Amino acid sequence: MSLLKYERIVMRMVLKDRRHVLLLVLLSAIFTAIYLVLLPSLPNGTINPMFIEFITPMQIIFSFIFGIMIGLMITLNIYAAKLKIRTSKGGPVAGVLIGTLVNALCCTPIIPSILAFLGASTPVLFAYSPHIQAFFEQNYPYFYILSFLIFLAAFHYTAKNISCCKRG
Amino acid sequence: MSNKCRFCNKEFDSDSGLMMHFNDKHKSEKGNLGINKIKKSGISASTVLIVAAIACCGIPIVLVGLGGIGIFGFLAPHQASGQSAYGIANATIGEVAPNIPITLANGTNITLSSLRGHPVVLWFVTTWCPSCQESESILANNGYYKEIHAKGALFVTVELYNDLNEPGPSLSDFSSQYGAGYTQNKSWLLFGTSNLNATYSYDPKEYLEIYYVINSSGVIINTSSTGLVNNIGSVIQEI
Repeated sequence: MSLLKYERIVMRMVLKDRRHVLLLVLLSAIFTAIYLVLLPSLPNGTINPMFIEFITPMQIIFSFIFGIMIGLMITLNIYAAKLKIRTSKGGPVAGVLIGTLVNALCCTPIIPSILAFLGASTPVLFAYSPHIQAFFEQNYPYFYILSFLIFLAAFHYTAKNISCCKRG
Repeated sequence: MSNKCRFCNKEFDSDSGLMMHFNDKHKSEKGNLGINKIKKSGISASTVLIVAAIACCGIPIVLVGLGGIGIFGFLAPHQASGQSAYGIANATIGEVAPNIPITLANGTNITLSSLRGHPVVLWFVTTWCPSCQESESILANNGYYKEIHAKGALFVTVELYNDLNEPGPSLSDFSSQYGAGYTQNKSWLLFGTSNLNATYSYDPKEYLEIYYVINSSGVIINTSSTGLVNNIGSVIQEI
């Protein structure tokens, strides 16, 4: 089997129609713009364009990757829905969740609140909570990569489903 | 490229015709969907991906939390209601702010109670947290420090004890780097460190940043851990 066989077939099928191309470009642009605001904002626990100036080069790259992947997945799912083909929805959802939540886990009160809710005392929180938050702060690019891999897997499954009968 | 069904070799004019045919005639046939290999075992691919996501993010957090409580929770000092660990009063809205010693960046030792007579914005930070660094930059560059000063208030930034045990820049570097030079040599803009008791008292949940608005009588009128910059409008109003 040739490399990326299903993906190539599906991209040719979908992008034959100019409406799908337009939809893909539009959705990718919208979601990239959303991510460009979302990724630098989440450590502050609020979504505010004021924080765009603090975006890191890594976040800029992944904003484009996530935006294009989400645009692609939605376009493929719309195409599949028209043809009544069932596709995987969980993958993109998981990809979005991991890619966005990891920034919020760093600096917002989420983790200390969870640990406090579980009954941890102040000294226990002092010993563990900052370490966990620092872990997410230092390693967020790995979670971005994980998120991207999940998007790729979802794309692969969706492409395989759509290209079920197509021969190149 | 031909629109030919790989199951019955029937030719079609369009993709949609081929798809309709496939859905009507061959949907259940083996090998049509890669995802079916997982479905046969009763688990969908979506479920596998969501479980993987939860396993990657959620389980370590819960395990570390539970482990910490289970192993060290019993060893930790008893925490009575209204008091932080080791019996120090918790900082509470409506009550006088617990007095804490503060060592300023220039080496001077002061106490919080010595600042009475002025409203005080007391901001506890960790110097390594990106949201604290961004907030410092926004406060300095967007004129918020000036607005606070115009109201006659003092602004006191205190590093949480030992930066909550994570490596970070010194408070002087934090203020000069992110405050863009604005924060230097201003008598109403203080930077300092305090002791562990102060952290336990003012930040018992170990948030990476938390602020208190204290009136000129030394009574706490507001506090939040959701980011000083996010609430800066209300902070300026309150003082």
